[in-house]
Amino acid sequence: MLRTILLALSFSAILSADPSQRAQKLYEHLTGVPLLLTDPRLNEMAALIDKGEWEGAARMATEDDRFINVTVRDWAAAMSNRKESVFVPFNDFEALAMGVVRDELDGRSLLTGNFRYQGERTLPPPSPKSAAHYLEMEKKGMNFKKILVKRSPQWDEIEESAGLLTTYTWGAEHLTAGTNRRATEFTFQEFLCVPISQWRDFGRPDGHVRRDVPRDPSGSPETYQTECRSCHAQLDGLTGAFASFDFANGGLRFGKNWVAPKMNQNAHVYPKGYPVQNASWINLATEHHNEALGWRTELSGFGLRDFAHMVANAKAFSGCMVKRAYRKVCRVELKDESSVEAFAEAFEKSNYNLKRLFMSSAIECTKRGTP
Amino acid sequence: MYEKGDTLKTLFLLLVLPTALLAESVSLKNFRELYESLQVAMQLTPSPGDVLTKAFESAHESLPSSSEVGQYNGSMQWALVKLTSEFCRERITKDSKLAVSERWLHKEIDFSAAPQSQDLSSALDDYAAVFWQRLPSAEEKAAISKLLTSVIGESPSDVKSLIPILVALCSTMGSTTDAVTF
Repeated sequence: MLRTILLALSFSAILSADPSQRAQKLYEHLTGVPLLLTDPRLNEMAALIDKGEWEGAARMATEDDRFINVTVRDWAAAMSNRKESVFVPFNDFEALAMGVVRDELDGRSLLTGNFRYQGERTLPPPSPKSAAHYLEMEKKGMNFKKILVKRSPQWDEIEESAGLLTTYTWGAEHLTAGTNRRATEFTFQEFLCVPISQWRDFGRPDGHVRRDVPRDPSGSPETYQTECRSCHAQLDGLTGAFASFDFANGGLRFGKNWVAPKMNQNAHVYPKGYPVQNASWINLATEHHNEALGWRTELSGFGLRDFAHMVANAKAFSGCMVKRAYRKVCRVELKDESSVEAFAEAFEKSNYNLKRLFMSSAIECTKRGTP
Repeated sequence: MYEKGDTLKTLFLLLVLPTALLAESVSLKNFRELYESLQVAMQLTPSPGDVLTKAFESAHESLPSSSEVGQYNGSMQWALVKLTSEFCRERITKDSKLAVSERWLHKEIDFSAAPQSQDLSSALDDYAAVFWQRLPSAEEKAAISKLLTSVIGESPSDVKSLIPILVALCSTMGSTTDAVTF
């Protein structure tokens, strides 16, 4: 009963909110901190909102350092690790995402970009073999929004760059040990918003399933056909994209025309399985429910850059960025599919401008009265 | 005779709303948002190695990691109160040494005298403005003032008690639901 009363009171307060209250809410959505009554921006934003110039008001809020240093940083941090935790030290993954948003670059460059964002030269040099540069930035209490600069190429020693997928952080999280399948699984999870349980598909051709996957686990070929194949057929077909990468000896490693030994480990389990000989890959996640992923480019390729290009141009990428941005600033899920599609369309038309996506999400939920 | 710890504890227990009563549409500030919000409210910018940075480093893993209200528990509340109290102490101490015109808050407080009821009333307005972005209603003010009087007595005569009382009031206001949620 009390919960109902509180809910009713909070909604009625927002619906009757004057421009100042709406300005406060909009600012808070975008920066994560309050806009004080004494702050001159309150009146400026309120005046813009009163005239219907919501985008102008939102842009004022995004000029505050905290939009990048708090909101966008948290948004990026959650995509940077398996637990989707924001309790992670500042890293090159976050820096790249923050820079792309701050500079209003094409959001697809999160995956296709051949650049990094870094701090000043007095710090330990940024490297695919060390997190020290970014840890030092945080330790020194630097203002990331003001300090981060864009540098190309991403790494001198790695010619196959793919934005976030070739950061030290992503490598440490997803290319350590294992078989590199995790990197594919989490590419789908973080950038298409589909966990593997949702993109598994039964009956897909299993010609690319590697030799380390038993075809009769616990003596049951049926288990392979009904369970294992539904993930591995697609996963293994795609993971060739990561074949030339490994995270070992404390660093991200790449070799042109080199296949990481882990890609062919345990080949004795099923010798007739698929041997990985290069970085070619094929996308078999294209049928049934996976049609909704909306692939728009070639469905096979060579190397990580081709793979990243395919993912970044998928309809599901735009939808995923919409859902993540909306969830971050509005603190609720955007569940209505038609709304997701409308936002995604606008996002693509804006040249995949993530800053504008954050702004439009915050405007929408401020108007709607989401706390 | 009141003790600083008693004031803080009593105010904390009586003013912080249990999370079970929060409306479903409310969401929590995470540890970073809380830390930055305190900086805004108290107009303080921590430096590497200073008391505020150390307080945050010590507390941050006990603070909320997401916006989910359901995660909020007693130990989080306590971590927040402790962090907020450091910011409050820093601000109050700073203001106590500044000329009135230069103070961020506490413009109506005489730091050379024992606490007066009007001091606490003006402090309440200050803290509500920075933590709640509004002034307290007459009812809220009356309730909190009555509570303060019952805890610290009608007129504590010790000038040294002023800052601890303000820290207690500030910390508690800064840990209320309005201050820690969106």
